[in-house]
Amino acid sequence: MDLRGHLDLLLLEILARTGEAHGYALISALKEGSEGRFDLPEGTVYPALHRLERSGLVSSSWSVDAPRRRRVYQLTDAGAAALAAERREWRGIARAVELIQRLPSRISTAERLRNRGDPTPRPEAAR
Amino acid sequence: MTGPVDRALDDLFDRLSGTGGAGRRALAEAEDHLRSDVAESLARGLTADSAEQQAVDRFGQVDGIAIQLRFADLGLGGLLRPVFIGTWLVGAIGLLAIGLSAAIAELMGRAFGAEFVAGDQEGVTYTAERCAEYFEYVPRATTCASAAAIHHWGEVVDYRAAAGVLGLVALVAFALARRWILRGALWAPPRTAVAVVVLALMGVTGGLLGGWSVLQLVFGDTSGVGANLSAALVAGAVALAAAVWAVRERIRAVGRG
Repeated sequence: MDLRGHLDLLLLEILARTGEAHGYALISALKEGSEGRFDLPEGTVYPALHRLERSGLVSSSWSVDAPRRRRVYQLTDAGAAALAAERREWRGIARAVELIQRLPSRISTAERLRNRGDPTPRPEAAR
Repeated sequence: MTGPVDRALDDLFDRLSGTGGAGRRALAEAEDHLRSDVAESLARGLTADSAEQQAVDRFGQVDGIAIQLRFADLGLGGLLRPVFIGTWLVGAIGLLAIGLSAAIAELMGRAFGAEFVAGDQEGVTYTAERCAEYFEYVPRATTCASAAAIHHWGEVVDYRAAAGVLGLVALVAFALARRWILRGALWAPPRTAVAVVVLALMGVTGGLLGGWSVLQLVFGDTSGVGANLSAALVAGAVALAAAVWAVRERIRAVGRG
């Protein structure tokens, strides 16, 4: 599934639920939480995290309780506010898509032509 | 012998050169990520080689990730800086090559005559006034065509030499700027990229001009061949040098792993 444009929201969402997490854990959560649907090149998560940090939406610090030093990320207040706004927007889009999908799916050609004021379907004109 | 993970990390290190603390941090994160992935795969029973290869494959293309990291950490300047430096170097090398072709054109003119370098195509004629100007420039010439050829030969050599001097100035300015102003790894030239671009530009130029010159020679029209041929010879030689440079850079990068 193509995640372009949605990765930031998903990362913020996971951080909101986990409290704090390092990159590898975030990717694992992304994969497991989506039951494998979100399967992206894992390295691309780090530029996204750095970008979010540069925007002030997450903060990070080194954790030393692992075998190696790890950068651990957490949501900032600005990040929580941005996430709330993103959620509202996302739900609005999802609702709109749902409404579109509920439209009657089949309108006959004759009905379409009638609606346009053309009484009968014409055979294809000779060239 | 290093494995896929170390090679990927070395590659990332190279590509993040000049990014300072942000790059160092990204490298540490990438290493932690890849080692964690390998450890999990080993725990699932994979061999070390397979575990490393899978981790690297899942991580994604290092070159693309490095570009994204540069942009995320340093903004647009992080991407434009190497482009600026690379363009400066490629331009300087191109101008120097043009300058070098001036020397070849000069030698060709001396060896085979001015017509060989700058002779006009059949059917080209000049007005009496123009001929007078050429004879004024070359009093020893016996015909208007030979006077024009000698004049044009001088132009070919002079203009190309001027381009060469400009290239030399650009190269010296670059060296001085790197020493005093554009210091540090942040402004380091993207050597492999420069080599590949020079190879492409000079290869195409050499191929086209060389091919055209050979066609002229094959059909027995040697008039003015030297102008293109001298440029083709230099472009070919510079392309060859750039190819060797690019291969050496690649070997250096792989060998270090």
